[in-house]
Amino acid sequence: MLDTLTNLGLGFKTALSLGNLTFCALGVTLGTFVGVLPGIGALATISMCLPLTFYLDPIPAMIMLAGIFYGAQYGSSTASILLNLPGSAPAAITCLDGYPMAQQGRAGIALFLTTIASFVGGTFSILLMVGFAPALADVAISFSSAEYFSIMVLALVAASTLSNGSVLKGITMVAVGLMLGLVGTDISSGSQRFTFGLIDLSEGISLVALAMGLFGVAEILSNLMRNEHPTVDAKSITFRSMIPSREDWRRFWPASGRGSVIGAVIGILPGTGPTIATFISYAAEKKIARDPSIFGKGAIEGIAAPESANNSSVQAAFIPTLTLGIPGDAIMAVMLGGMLIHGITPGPQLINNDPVLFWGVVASFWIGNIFLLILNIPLIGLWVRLLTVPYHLLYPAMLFFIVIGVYSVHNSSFDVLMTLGFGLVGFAMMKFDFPAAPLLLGFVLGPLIEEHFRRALILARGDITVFVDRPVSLGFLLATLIVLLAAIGPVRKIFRRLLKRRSVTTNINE
Amino acid sequence: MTNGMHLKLADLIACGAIAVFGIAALMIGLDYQLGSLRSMGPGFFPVASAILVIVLSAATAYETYRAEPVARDVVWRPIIFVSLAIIVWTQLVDRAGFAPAMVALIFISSLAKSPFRPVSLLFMTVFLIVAGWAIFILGLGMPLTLFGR
Repeated sequence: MLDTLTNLGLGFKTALSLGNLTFCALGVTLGTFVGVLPGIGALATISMCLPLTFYLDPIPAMIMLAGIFYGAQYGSSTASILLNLPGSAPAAITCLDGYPMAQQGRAGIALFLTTIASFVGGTFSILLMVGFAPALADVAISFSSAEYFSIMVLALVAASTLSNGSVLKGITMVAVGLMLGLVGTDISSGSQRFTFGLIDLSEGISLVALAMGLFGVAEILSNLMRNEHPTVDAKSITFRSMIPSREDWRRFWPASGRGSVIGAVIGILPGTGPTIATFISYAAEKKIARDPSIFGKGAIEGIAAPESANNSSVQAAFIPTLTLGIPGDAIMAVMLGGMLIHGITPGPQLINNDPVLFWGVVASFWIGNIFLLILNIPLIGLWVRLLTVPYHLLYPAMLFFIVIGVYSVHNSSFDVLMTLGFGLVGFAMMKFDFPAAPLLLGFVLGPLIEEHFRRALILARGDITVFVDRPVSLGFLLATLIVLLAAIGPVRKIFRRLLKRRSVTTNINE
Repeated sequence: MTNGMHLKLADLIACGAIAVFGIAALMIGLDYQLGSLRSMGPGFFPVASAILVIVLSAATAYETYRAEPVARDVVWRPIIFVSLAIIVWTQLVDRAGFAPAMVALIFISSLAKSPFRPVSLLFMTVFLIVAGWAIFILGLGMPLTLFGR
């Protein structure tokens, strides 16, 4: 307990320094800015800003990147509520009840409550992180390469099967990502793989180019093909219209609390991100509600729970990323990639070897959340006005930042062309329903998986049973098997039938 | 029914493209040293991943073949102008400089979608170039020039 307080003190001392405070504010503002704009998600934003942080020291860089990430989650609910267009994937659920609230003239209240819900969820997981991360790091310190290999396999399988759509397509994309991650110099032998003699590829495919192509350019292309771009009345949101009634508050708190807990649990698990957290928390609210028919018509619970779950899972996702070095989803994978570029190796040693960085970043999370309260309540009018910028002006500006951002990493036009290539591939993937997030996760985890697989087998003298002999590793592999079985067609059907039967019987009992 | 098969063809070609990617990777990967389980060479993981890609793309193709066809339409105009804008930018930035490259990027890409509003685009371009110059060249010291080499 005393340790925790000393650590937190250290963290706040770091985070409250003028420079770090500035970059925290900059990060969350940037995150909100892009989060508000529909059709450009947190992933594109982070990849766009990643090159900017290369010029910073590691601590402000991490603080800023993280700020962009959770800032974008705050901002993305604005477009969901006002336009029925999610600013990013996890905010899609917020449309269901947020947009009806706006149609009923309660947009201000919805915006106010989603901000509070985000703050509650974020704070909950930050507290959890403070208490839980050191303990998890202590456990993880005994992990060997076999355990790391198995938990990464679990993360990849979970991430590709738990998303919507075809399980097979998700896993195929993971495999393609693994393949792309192999391009470049092999660390163990020093030999060049898949570089085709190009010097530009000897350090591997640029993470920024890949992410900006798949999530920036592809996203712009697909938005350009949509015809309708709804508009918003910026004047209707006044500070006065934002104050919720006592009845609103009474319905808000329990839902927000449940959402926070669900989000935290989902966020810690490998391979599951905020999108799943929001879906599950919404489903849970519907399940326990006395009158489920209110959902979809502007229920407070329907925005409070998913928004809390969203931010809670976003903050909780930092727990495995920072303490195990294993990202839970594609966004965390980009964060991990960013940390590696800065020479920070996330893992169980991070807390002990670099406590200033670890606790400084954790403390900055909470400070960033307070900044976001200010940004999203008194200053909400600014963001609403941003939604009135027409798309035909917006996308050339977005392309501007994409090309200059990619170029700045290595001052290389080659990377920019590669971004275009990945953009076209990403667009085709979108058209044919191949998900891009598993590909990115496979790309980042690929080299790590290979390294741990090789090292585990060297240590075990080529005995492949090492992965099932070690109990923790076996546990992760069994979990992978369960996730995989639950996702495969016939098994899923049986599963669904069982679930249906149970829900039918409960209905009768009621 | 023939129409349904026609729709599926595009999806099957997509799976085929992934399979070709996997087969190419396998052919190249087989040239690297495989090594043994005890000490793996640089070829082991690429070959294993490539086989995984091929098998999974075949399975996806089978799944697509069995599933209901989905209509997918593509509008070419955005693809053409966005691609052209980025390609022209890469050709101009190292030769003509940051400002001309950005003017080309913004004006070519804005042809991807109507309406084309040259006046407001011009204002935005000037603003972005000044802001970009201040942030990237002045602030971050990127080795770029506004005009020329």
